[in-house]
Amino acid sequence: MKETQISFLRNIVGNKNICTNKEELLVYEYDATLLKGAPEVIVFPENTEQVSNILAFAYQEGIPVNTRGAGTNLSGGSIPDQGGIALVMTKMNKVLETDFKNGVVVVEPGVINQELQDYLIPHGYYYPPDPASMKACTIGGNIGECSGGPRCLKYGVTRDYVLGMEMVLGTGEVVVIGSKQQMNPDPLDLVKLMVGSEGTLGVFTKLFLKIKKIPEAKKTMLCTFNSVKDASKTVANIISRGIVPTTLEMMDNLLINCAEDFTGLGLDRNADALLLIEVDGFKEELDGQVQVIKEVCEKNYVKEFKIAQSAQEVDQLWTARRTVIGAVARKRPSYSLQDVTVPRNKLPDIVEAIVNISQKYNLPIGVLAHAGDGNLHPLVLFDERNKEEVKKVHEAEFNICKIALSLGGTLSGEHGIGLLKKPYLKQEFSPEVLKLKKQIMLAFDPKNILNPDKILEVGK
Amino acid sequence: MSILKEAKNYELLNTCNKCGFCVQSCSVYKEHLNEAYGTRGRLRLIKAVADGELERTSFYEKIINSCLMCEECSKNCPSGVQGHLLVQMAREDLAREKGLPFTKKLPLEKILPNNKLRSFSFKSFRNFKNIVIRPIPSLHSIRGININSVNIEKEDFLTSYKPLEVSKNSKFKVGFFVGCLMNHTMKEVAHSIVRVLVNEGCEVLAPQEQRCCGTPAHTYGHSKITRELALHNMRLFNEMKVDVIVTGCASCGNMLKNYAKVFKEDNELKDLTLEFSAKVRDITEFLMDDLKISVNKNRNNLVGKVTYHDPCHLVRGQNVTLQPRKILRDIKGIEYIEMPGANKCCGASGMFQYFYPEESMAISNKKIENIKKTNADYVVTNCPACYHRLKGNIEANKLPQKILHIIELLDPGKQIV
Ligand code: SF4
Ligand code: SF4
Repeated sequence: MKETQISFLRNIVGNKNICTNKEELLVYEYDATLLKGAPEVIVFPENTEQVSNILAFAYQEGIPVNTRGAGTNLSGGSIPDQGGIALVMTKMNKVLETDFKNGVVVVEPGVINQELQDYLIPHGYYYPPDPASMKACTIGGNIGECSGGPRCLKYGVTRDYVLGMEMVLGTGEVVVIGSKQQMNPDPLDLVKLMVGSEGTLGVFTKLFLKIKKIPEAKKTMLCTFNSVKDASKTVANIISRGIVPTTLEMMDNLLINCAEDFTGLGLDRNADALLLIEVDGFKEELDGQVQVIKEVCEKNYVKEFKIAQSAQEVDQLWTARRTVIGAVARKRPSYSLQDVTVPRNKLPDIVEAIVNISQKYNLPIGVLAHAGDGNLHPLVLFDERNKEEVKKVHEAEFNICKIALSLGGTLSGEHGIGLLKKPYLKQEFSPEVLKLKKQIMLAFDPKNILNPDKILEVGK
Repeated sequence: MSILKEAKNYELLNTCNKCGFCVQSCSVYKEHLNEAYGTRGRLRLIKAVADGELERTSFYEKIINSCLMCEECSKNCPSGVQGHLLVQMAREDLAREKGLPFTKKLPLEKILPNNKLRSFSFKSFRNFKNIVIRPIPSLHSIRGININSVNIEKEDFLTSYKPLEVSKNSKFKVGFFVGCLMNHTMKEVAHSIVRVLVNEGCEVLAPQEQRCCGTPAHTYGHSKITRELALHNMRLFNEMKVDVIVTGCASCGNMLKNYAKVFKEDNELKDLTLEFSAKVRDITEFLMDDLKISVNKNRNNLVGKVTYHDPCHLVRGQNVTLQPRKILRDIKGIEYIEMPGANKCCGASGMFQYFYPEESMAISNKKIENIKKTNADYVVTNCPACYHRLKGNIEANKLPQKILHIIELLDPGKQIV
């Protein structure tokens, strides 16, 4: 970028909101993957007008713009691999309006998911999408990636909680789509299209979100099994008995051990699989549900069935679950995380396939699953400095993806495509569909400056 | 070769997998909202220096020095990365490769380690404060530090200390590590610690030759001074053959316990640390876990609501959280109220408050907001540095709260109201 371009941006956001230091460029070159790519300038807009002016200028000059929240994403999506502007939304971090009567909250994109929850909980409300990184990630990022989380088994993903938004297009124009009403009779639903668009269609500046009343009661169960197969069968059986738990999370032996290393909760290190099951609702319904779940577990040879006794215990179990991905890094310096979804009844098959792949490539692979949804996160452990091993990792992952697709699954459950999963897209979608998608992207962003060539190569 | 390149250190720098879970827990990041100030960013830059990708620029120094050593990042990292220790290592590298600036070198090398010079400095400062600062309100606050609110003793505790009589068969022979700040600014609190311990049947020795625990030098990477101080203090207390070493300062306690880790590869010190560090106790830890005292009697007829601020070096440094709360919950007649964000840093962090006044003020203001929410009458803490920072801010904000060191609530000889 030219010096004149940078000073133009400086005029828009002011001195304190722009950086070109080498040091700062270095810390905006990464996300939570192993990919890298540094921006040429970093700007921190404080309001919609600044975002609009920045994008109008970028449009005029044809500068790539990479929008970024907290950079906790697992897809390479927030890496400015084409240089240009890193548009960091962390300073737009206010809760703007709340309307508890109608269950609506309006926030800026830089609000941290957990901070929104902390704000809502004292009023008896919460925002259901709960990605594992909720303590660290922004709402804007969640919407860009259409994040899920353990709770989405019962409550749905981010897409189900976005009512509308104010956003800036790739030309600098500000538009409002959807509304603050719970019902949006929009036949061509642009809001749904924006959720999961990974920063390629526009930059969110205000988000209208649906919130829910905190359920009266919940019960959290911890069940261990001697085989992943038994655990998977339990999952399928619970749902076929007509119960929809809030969460049905599965960890394999490797992950149980890593979680135990970090939390020291006394998890059974010898168990082959663990299910973390939570049900919520009215008090009187829950005991019955827990009884049914217990029966199903017993029928599937549960090793131990335990109900958490205190709120503190529940918290600890969830901390163990939410941090397990990072905890894995205690075993090897690097990990790579896949995100595939298979039909629920195919869970045992894919887990078996992963075990085989792990043996074939001699790489430890842990399995973490939002089992209720059939959404799986195989975690491959390695050392990024060992190039031989990195090659094996790529091959192993490619095989996992291929198997997921052959079992009738899809590639991204919730982490987005970004850069990492671009190569697999051709296998999932036909050329006609891909062409349609490209046309949509160009309609929002005619010069392809918004997070260019993420998800799809659009070209200039 | 830079210490960052030493194999075991370099390996540690490579354990961060950039998940970002630590970033929001860093209070300094929260003021800047810029990745460079988050732990993940700091670690990236240290690695860049280790790899020769980045020079030790002034911006880099700023990033490395603007860390509170609050240990939040380390507690929140699922991968077990000890962010604060890596920052400490980077400071040591800076001190070796670039040398410390005069503003740090003078206190770290000359004043703090030297008992005479330190006493002299505190005394001169006391006179300066009483004659020059006090009459002129505009001088009361320097870089956001309310120096007018800091009491400085005319005569420090250690100089005037005479061991109190104990019954023949004392339960424990206690070495009292007073710490510089308590010694020079909170003499009465130090006396309270002694009285409470003696009442519980302990013999209390407080050797005058004890020196700075080494926290300031260690924090800014001055390993030579840290080692010297540690060696002196360990020899002194080991020779006295005490059963335990008790302190009422969170940072001293943390450092004394950490001698064992810091010098685990130092052949001369290693054995001394084995004897020494295991004996160190925070005062609340010693009273509740070892002496198992009963605190339900209200010893100074205190009434009202109390809240508690966790010093970083106690809650995360030493995992001491339950003992002070148990004390405050058990005392009859007072009502304990948990403060929101009780375990967040108060913003003091030693010299940080002087070098980074804006960040420090903003962090303190959050603490003040949380104190207000409790509507408490008393704010209790367990560390002289936090005590002064909180007191200064409470007074500057004209809040009604009174600040207390936790031991004051247990000492019948102390008139609080
Ligand atoms: S020790 Fe505290 S201030 Fe320093 S990087 Fe960690 S969280 Fe931030
Ligand atoms: S220090 Fe730990 S929590 Fe922070 S980014 Fe690195 S691995 Fe994640």
